[in-house]
Amino acid sequence: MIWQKIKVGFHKLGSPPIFYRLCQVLSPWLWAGFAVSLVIGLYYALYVVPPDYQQSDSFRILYIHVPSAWQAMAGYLVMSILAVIALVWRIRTTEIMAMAAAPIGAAFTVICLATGSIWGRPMWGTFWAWDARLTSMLVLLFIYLGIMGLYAAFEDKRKGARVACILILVGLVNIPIIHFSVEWWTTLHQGRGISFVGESTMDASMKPPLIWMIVATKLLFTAALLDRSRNELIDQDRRKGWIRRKLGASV
Amino acid sequence: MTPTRKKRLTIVGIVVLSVGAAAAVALSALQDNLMFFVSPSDLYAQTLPDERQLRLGGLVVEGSVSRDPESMEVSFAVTDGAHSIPVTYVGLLPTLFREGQGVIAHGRIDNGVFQAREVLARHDETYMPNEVARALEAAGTPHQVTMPTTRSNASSDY
Amino acid sequence: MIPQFEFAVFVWTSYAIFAIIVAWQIFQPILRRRRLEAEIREELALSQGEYSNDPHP
Repeated sequence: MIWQKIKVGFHKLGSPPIFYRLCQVLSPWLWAGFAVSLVIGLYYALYVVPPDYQQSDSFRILYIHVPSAWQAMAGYLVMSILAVIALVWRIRTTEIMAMAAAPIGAAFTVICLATGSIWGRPMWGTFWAWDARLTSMLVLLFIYLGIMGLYAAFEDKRKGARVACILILVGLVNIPIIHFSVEWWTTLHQGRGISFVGESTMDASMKPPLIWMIVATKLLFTAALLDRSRNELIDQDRRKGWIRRKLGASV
Repeated sequence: MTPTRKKRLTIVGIVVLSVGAAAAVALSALQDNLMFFVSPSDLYAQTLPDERQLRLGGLVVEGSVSRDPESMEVSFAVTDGAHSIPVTYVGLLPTLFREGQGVIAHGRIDNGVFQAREVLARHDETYMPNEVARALEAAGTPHQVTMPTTRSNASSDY
Repeated sequence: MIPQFEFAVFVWTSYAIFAIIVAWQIFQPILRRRRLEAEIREELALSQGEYSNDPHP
């Protein structure tokens, strides 16, 4: 019975007007949630948390760098799930969402690489090193850009989305490589220390802003995803009756 | 799920698994090249050719750092708990360079001494306030910095 | 008000990069939607023979 409801709901989301309405309704809440968690996270990161015993205040970059890195990877996983649904079920709204996710994931990857590089200069002594972690993160950025470029190259948006979705799935193998790079190989980048279950190598007093910033990046990703998807849907359906009626109020 | 969708799902699955298998094969074949640094034990085992530029990673041995006031050359020893390699370097050391901390030196080994042309500090994933670090030291259990292990020293703890 | 940090330039540059990219993620959808609505309004006006807002008569 529940499974039936889920299946019906799933297919309903494929309907452009219903999807449009969902994006429209959820978006303001997600942006509001993002704003609140961002302010709290930044306040804790810049005013409350003490400097690190080794890295002093430069470690505060972690509160931008780590959540962005995690979101760059998590965003790719979300995009991959959307890609599988798009390829198997051929639902247009899912294709739209998968393509809308790419530029946001790319943005987080840029933040991760840029802040990591800036942090590395005073701490390691270099802006960059070709170790497995940094290189695989750079590859992730190239994959994101490749997906965006490939989609843009097609006149037929549906076909372009499907081809780009195959590229998304080919690039999926990079995610476990990034995650395990510090375990499988020796790297300049330090190993995994922060976990939410069990032991962490981060002092408890330093964790709260990290949690708030992680929440903030998740909400930002989702809010931006819904907004971009809605715009793409408007663009694609601009001549259709339902859009004319929807926008008739504001137009 | 309709048969068409099942077929598409199978194709998707095959694509993902094939790419994964290809990546696994390629990466395991390239293992050595993907290591950013080797350990002193690796160098000691002399499994690497002398002429090669490589990166040596380990902890700076306590009490081993000395700077020649005339030539500005620094010398120190790098260890992984099992073996120690002497290193010489001319130039500025990174801010986090200190005894007992992680370091990665880029250069080549020459008659048992590693001539470094670049020295990077490598810190581990531990973050704590000054008070906590001091408390640990006072309690007699100062935080031990760790470096990742490579094949040769996989069994040593340090 | 603004805290004094060691390595201040590195910390503030990183936070600034974050702020710029996040701001873009907030504004890009708003700007695009405004442009889309203007384009649709234009098309609607043209198709209904409403040429009164023609900028180049």
